[in-house]
Amino acid sequence: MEALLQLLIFGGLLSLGVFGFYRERAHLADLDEREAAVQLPTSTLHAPIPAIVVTNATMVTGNVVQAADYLKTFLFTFVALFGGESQSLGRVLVRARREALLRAQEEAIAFGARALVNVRFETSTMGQKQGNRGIAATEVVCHGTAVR
Amino acid sequence: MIVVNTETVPGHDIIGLKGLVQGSTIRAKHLGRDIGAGLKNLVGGELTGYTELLSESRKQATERMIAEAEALGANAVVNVRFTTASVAAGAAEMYAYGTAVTISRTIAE
Repeated sequence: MEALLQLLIFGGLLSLGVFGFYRERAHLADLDEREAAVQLPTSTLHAPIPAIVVTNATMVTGNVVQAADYLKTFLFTFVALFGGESQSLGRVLVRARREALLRAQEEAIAFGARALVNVRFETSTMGQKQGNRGIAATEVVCHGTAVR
Repeated sequence: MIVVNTETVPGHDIIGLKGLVQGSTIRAKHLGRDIGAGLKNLVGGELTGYTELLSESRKQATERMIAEAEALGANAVVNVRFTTASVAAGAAEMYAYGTAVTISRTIAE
């Protein structure tokens, strides 16, 4: 009986992956839309290209803490067993980085920036990992200098 | 495709900005290598399985970044940076990013 209950809980957690799937799709659509709206020359260089006369500058940041759903973390244990690439976990981080960059760009636009330069990304892990598996949560910080 | 981690390419002028390009991958080695690495941890030494894993990941991330730059019509990626994230035990996430630009040879005056 107890084993059945545990199996039900496990199945329930796995089925949360459905929500994860829809949330990912909604997030990607949202990112596409916002990226299309942001028209800001962005680079990792120190000076904007084409060169502009800079009258003011400020540091902008964008950060996001992202977690993967239970299904993705569970499926990763199979990837870890045989080796290879985990595309579903990869997509989670790519989304997090796009979101962080967008937040920095949106802050730059609010400042009235004409370009965003010296962009850097940093990541760190937050929260607890469960035994051998699990993204707990990954934090992505994007920072750069907005110039106008 | 010229890929450098400096701001400029020696002997070239940057003539156009194509934008930020990036490539990333999350890879894992099979269980056997994980166990081997666990044993190696007891005696010390290089974890060759994981060294391999990281260089494979770095190569794949770089290739993806280059592919993105090519799609934008760039002929160089400058100021390339690498960063990693720890997402799961035994997995390596490698992220490469840089600025895609078009360059041309500096004309000597």
